[in-house]
Amino acid sequence: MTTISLTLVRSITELVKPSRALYIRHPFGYTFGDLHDRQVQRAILVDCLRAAERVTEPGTIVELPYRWTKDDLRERQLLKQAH
Amino acid sequence: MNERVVDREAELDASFVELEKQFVRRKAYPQFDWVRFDHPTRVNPLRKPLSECRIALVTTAGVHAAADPPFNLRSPIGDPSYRQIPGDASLDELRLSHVGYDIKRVSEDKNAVFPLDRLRELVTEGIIGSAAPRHFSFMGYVAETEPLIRQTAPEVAENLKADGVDLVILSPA
Repeated sequence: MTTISLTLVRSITELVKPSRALYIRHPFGYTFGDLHDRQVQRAILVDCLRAAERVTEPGTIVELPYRWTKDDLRERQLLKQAH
Repeated sequence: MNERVVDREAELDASFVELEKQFVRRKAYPQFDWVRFDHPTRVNPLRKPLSECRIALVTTAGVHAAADPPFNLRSPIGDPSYRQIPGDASLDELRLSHVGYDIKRVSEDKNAVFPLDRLRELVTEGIIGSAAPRHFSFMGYVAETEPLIRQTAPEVAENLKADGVDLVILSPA
């Protein structure tokens, strides 16, 4: 059995050091993308599968290209001004 | 992409680790600190093609069946317990309990945080072999981590192995 981790906060993942992680710059609660955004939700799952096949170096954190552009929720969450 | 914009978010990410620690210490658990590990967990390679793999989701999004008790959101030390999500569950039958994100809004499409429907579609398309007969959920606020590390997380791992799971996708909220 093997694992792939997703992370929304790189700095915490650097402390915990899971075997392989994919870093997504999405707000808390929207790990796989926005509500009803089937395309991004699916794409991130597929990214997990591909990483499970391809990433072999322990402690690797791969940044995914998705960006949350609809509002500043992520920034406010990282500042502890929203949840 | 403007590098300065990227750096701004990277700075926020880097400062969040201290900001969150102080927030938890002030609001709930004065002894709180992050668990740190010196070395990364080793990589277990996949042993078979994805089209033959059984995949499970393990989330910290506070997902639970409507009939199961919600997570304890009032304990200062957090809640290290977990819930089993039946593999054939409908997202409509599931509930979210978590203090760290807007569960009311995400309840409108739980795939945003727990993509059970998308996983099933990958099975239908033949991209993966099967979805696991059960998935597992924690609630992400666990300030006292010993019970999680010593008991509940290993229990979940044993359950996943017993189910013949090849790949676990661990996702936060």
